[in-house]
Amino acid sequence: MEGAMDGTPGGAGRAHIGREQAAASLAAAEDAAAKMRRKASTYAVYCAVFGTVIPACTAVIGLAPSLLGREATVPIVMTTSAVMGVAILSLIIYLLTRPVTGTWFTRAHMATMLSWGILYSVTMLVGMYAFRAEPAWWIPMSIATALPFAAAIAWILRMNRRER
Amino acid sequence: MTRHPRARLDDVIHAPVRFSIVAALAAVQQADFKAVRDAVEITDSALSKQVATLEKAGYVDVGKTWAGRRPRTVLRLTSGGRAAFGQHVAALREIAEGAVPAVGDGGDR
Repeated sequence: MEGAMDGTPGGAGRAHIGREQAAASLAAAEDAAAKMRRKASTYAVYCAVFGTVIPACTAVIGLAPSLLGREATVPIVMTTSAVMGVAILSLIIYLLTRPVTGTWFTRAHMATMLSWGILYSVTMLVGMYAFRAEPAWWIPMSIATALPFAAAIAWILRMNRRER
Repeated sequence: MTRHPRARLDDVIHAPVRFSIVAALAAVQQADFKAVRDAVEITDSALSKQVATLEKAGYVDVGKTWAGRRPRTVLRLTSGGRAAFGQHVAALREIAEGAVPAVGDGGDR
């Protein structure tokens, strides 16, 4: 009865396994593993959204005074901060509801978020004090905050290509 | 005398469906019950039965969480399960590569 559900051919235990059977087992296992690894790659979606929305918001916050004048700065900063908050909350929910978590996820996520955190802190702290509303600072630094996510996406894509 | 690699095959993992389940879980940190079911292409009841066997052997951890209002069953390979899978795969590779005497020559003593 057990054999019917676990796929064990009738009477074929490990004592009878041959080269072809072993190779077939390995191929079937690799097929299942590859499907799971592909499902774990949805982290690239998180990186793409975070790496686009948050750097764009960072640039808007930094450039708000030069774009729309000092009076409009506070409402723009508040609105953009709210957009960032909603985006981050949505992305956290997205991550928590993924059906598969890759073996690499914890390390990759920690490295990506730590790199972003450092770049974002430098961009905001230095920018607010030394380069207020200065496009030459805010545009390149906002792009720089997207780089950890771009690197994570490139790494996931390369890993998937290598496994094919 | 060299032991035939089939002596190192794990009896619990050896069944093809269980081997595929363990292989799927070995490729990730954790996965939903449904994701494993789709990857291995079996029914819910068949997966439940095999997971129960693997859990009993200490190879798989089964956790229950919630995704919004929906209950979610999360499967994770234990460290013992990973070790057993690694050993099983190594033995299967040896057999597949034919680097051992033919099966049935009594080499597993």
